[in-house]
Amino acid sequence: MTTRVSGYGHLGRSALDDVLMGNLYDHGVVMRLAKYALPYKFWVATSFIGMAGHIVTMVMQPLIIGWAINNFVDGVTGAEAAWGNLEIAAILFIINVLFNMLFNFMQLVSLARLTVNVLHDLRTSMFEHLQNQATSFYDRNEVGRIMSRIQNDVFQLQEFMDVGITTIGDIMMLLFIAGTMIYLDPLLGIVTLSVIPFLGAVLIFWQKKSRPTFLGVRVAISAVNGNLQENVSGVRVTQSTNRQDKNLTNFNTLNQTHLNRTIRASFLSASLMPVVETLTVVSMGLVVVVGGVRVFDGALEIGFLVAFLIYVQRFFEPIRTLTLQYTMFQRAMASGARIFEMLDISPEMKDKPDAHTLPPIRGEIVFDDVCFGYTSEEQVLHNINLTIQPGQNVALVGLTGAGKTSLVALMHRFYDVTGGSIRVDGYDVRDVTRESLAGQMSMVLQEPYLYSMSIRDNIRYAHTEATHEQVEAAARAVGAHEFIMELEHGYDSMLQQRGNNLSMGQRQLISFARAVVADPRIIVLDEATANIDSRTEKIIQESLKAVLRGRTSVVIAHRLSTITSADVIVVLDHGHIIETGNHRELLDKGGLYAALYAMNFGEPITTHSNGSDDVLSMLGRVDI
Amino acid sequence: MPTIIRIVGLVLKKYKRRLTMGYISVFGAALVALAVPRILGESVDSVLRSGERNVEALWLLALALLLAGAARGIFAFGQTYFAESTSQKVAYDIRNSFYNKLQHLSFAFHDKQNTGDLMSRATADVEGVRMFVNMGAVRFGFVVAMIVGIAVAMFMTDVTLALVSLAFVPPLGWRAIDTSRGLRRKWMEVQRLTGEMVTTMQENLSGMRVVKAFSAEKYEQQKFEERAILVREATYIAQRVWARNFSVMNFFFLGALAAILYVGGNQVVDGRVVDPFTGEARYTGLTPGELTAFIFYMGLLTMPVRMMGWMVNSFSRAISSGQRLFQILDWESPVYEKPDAMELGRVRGAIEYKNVSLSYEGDAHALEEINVSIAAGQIVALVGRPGSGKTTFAHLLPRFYDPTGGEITIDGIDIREATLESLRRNIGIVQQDVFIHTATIAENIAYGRGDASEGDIREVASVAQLHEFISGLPDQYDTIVGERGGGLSGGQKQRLSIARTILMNPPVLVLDDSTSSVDAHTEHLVQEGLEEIMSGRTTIVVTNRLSAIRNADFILVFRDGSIVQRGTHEELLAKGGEYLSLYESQLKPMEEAALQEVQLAGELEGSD
Ligand SMILES: Nc1ncnc2c1ncn2[C@@H]1O[C@H](COP(=O)(O)OP(=O)(O)O)[C@@H](O)[C@H]1O
Ligand SMILES: Nc1ncnc2c1ncn2[C@@H]1O[C@H](COP(=O)(O)OP(=O)(O)O)[C@@H](O)[C@H]1O
Ligand SMILES: [Mg+2]
Ligand SMILES: [Mg+2]
Repeated sequence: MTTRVSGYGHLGRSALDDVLMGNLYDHGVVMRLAKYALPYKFWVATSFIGMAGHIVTMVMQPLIIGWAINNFVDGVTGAEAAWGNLEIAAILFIINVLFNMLFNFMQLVSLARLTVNVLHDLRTSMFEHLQNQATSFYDRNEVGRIMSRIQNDVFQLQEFMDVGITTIGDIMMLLFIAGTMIYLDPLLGIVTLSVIPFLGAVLIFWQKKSRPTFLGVRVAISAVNGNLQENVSGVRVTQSTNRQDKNLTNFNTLNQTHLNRTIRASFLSASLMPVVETLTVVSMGLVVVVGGVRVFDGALEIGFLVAFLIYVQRFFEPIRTLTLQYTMFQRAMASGARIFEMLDISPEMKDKPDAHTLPPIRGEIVFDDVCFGYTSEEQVLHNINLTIQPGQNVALVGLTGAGKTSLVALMHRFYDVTGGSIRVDGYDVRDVTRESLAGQMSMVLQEPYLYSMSIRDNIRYAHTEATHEQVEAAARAVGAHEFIMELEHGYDSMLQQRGNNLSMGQRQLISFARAVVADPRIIVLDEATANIDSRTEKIIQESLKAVLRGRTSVVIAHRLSTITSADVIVVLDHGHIIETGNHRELLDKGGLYAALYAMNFGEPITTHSNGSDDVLSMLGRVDI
Repeated sequence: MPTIIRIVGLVLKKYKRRLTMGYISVFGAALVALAVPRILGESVDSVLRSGERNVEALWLLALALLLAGAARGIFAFGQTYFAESTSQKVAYDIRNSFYNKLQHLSFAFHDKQNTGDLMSRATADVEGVRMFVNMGAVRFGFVVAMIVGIAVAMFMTDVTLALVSLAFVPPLGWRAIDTSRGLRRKWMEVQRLTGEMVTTMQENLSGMRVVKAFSAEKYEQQKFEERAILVREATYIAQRVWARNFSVMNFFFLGALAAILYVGGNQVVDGRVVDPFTGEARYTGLTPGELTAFIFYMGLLTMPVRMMGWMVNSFSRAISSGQRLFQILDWESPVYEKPDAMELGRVRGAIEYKNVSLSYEGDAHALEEINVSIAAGQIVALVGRPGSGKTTFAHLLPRFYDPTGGEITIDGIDIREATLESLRRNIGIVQQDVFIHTATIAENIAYGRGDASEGDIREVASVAQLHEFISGLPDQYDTIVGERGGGLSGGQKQRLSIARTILMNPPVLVLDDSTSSVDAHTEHLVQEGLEEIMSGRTTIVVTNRLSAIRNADFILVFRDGSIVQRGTHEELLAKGGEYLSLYESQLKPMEEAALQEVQLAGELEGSD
């Protein structure tokens, strides 16, 4: 049922996602899981020793009881002898029970150690694997989906390991009990066990009947939770659009479906009880009648008849749980397949094996005939040629969707170019380690993302070694210091998820400060000040001048007042560079830049157009 | 305890019948379960009555076993089914009310709540309460019935042996309860740590571009690993405590068997009288069959005593889970509807803020003594530094928050007198932090108006300058977007949000910096489209672009939660101060350029 999807790097809605239950046993999954247990051979060994000891002592107990009963019931020599035997039996039993306890404890503790270690390793390797995936992986896969793999699927495996190994013990116990019964009295043993085929048939039938229902419950509950999660995240939209009633109706439908299915599932689970219960007593009845006759015939001692009865009781107990574990096994196999599928996706963008560390750079960036597209069908950037001198301040301008963000993303190697090359200080970015490259560049993203940590930790972020003075200096440089100090705990104020307790502009400033603290040679600002008023921005620019001195900077902004002082302004349109020059040169040129610049004024453009090229027609041409 | 009473109340209110059926099954099951050891004991004795090879008696006993077993099976069915289904129904009820409560709680609540935490309440805590209904409310009867029943049966058989066997029960029961409590604390710790680990992971994945931008993979890995190790060790410790408890409990149970065997065995032997002539044994005291019955009674007792631990566990879990759920369900939203709230019709849109103040969470005032009066149909622009209170001002109007002082009226009606539904129907707000649902573009646009036609959707998409972009997509309006708008650029998301809002056709429109990521040209087109739409509507625009301010009837300049200047563009320029410096910082470079151009033109003319 589980088919492995080859590593295309896409988790979304693959065939695997719909597979909630796999085979009862998937060799590939179990073997790979076993590899994770390899470092913990000691715990594997102790848990199996514990398990074996536990089983042997358990199986011996009815024998001791039977032996004792035999002795005092049939003891021909009367009280005296029986006394001694009874004491021996009691002492034997106590010793047995003591060992039983020790083995049991040994088994449980070793298993616990083993499972927590294996799951931890699995989790961290998944996490590490995810860190190494390229940006494009995250373009394709929703976070929710990935989270569900790490959370639910690992949880399934945890359950599988907790219960699965115990199940092995249960099965061993069953076999051992069956063997002992047949050894004690082959005829009675076989008669007693004769109900097993019936039970097996019933269980298989039940399994077939109930599988869709249990599956349905799982599908339904994930729909319920998914809906709830989205509703919580989008509650602000819900309230502003008055969607509460409609949402509740939708949710209720899902919730009701889930309820109906669980009730049906509980009916099915419950319906197994009369069957197992009845078969247990049938088996016991057989022991009473056949065993009784055997005792009459002198073929069996009465004590072992009692032992048989105890065995029957102990035999059927694990069988009850086995039926539930059947489903659990199937789920775990599907989960395991999904986890390993993810671990098998090889990162699209790996450092070359011989990649060297980028030495400290001056900050020269060369785009050499760069072409790029997110998909092979559509090219986003066409033959970009651009040289940025060390320490230069470059501005990128263009309409939404022109390719500005894509261009800087390439520089940072979020994606690889599809043609041409990008060189930093003469090094092709693909030939150096990503870490040494990114370590010298900082990027302030279009959408600020903050963590639920203190403001200080948010600014420091990966540069945990940054001192308080450095953090404060960065905050001052971006004009955030003032408002931070107004907060109750200053730099130690905790942010709520995504920085909800700050205004959008404030979030942008913190994210800005984070880039400054990293002390990069190259700094990229992608609409970093979109939510900040121009006066504050001006202040930031002044103080940033000191910070940015000697550094290369690339700035994207729609408010052109922001960039008039840039050394070079590059105008992008539909993935082509159409104009370059400084503010004045471009204004004189009267092209797209001049037109956009005029629009910033909010007036129909007439005054600033110079010469033949009418800006309005210019705008008509670049219309998106 | 009040929590438990309340949960029980939830069950009794609607599911009395099911509960009764559950209890009948429970007592029936306990009763017949008690019969089995007796029958087995009788079988042993009847086999032992040697001499008379009484096979019929054995058949009869087997039949009795069968009947008892079948009856027990049926009762067990009832017990499982009724307990389980009742608990599921209660869970269903709670989920629905929880969901609905969350939708109605104000922003102030959601600001502080973590999605992960709310989700864990909706899943783990609902499950906690459900388990209690299942285990605590129904099976509790089973445990009590079994323990009492077994004790009575034992005492009726043999007092001494009963005392020996049952001596273990109170300390074991106590131990089960005690460790359950300790374990519960340990598991809660595990849960808490797991929550932290999950949050770390969630934030890491959601902010992956930040991770990449700072090459922070190692740092993140380390952060995660620290949390994961805590989870690992806490889990192990909890499991070890459990393992110790489990094996010790087992030990005492089996130890009790040894005692029964020894004491009971002695009694059997003492009471054994062997007929000197026939050699036949009679038992005047305890019979071997009765001893067997005791051994089976002990077997039966294992389950209920163990369950005492689970019971207490489910009890304390239900208390903490119930508290966490009721905490939300009882949350008094500061923004609530008056019982006699009026239905607001379509308003004209005259808005007045009178002495309005607001402080979030005891902090300094985010807004202080705001007085603004907006006539119907006017366009008002809000400008100011980040954190100066513009968004806060806008959020008060649809009552996302209620002011801590002062009042706001629409058409002269205090907005607190109107129903929330009718108020919000009148106010369309495009929020600064855009949220897009995982759904098709069309569904996202029609989010607030399920009855919108395809034509309507196209129309608003055109106004928001999205139509052309959407038409270029392979699936057009059926393209699925999601995860806060993945696949859309920042500017596209903002425009989608604009389309969504204007589709609702509200008489009052609030745009909170809703074109900050849109280039000037596209913004201009959006504005042209909006202008038509805005006519006849009251519009509040928060913006950082002066181009958007031009059309405003008046401008409010915010600083530190106060309005420091107000007036038209010209008036404010004339006044100087905050607005002027704002204006200058944005437009001065531009005017300089214009000036240069004039000079340039002059030079050119001169040279002609
Ligand atoms: N992750 C992505 N996957 C596919 N297409 C994308 C992605 N990001 C951007 N695009 C597309 O690439 C083009 C350029 O986008 P972008 O570089 O973000 O533009 P800008 O930053 O200039 O607004 C747009 O057409 C956009 O739809
Ligand atoms: N949900 C919140 N919880 C606590 N404080 C907040 C919250 N939202 C905003 N603030 C604070 O209130 C002040 C005003 O914020 P806001 O109205 O968002 O400013 P802006 O003018 O940038 O829109 C800021 O100091 C901000 O930190
Ligand atoms: Mg962009
Ligand atoms: Mg704001």
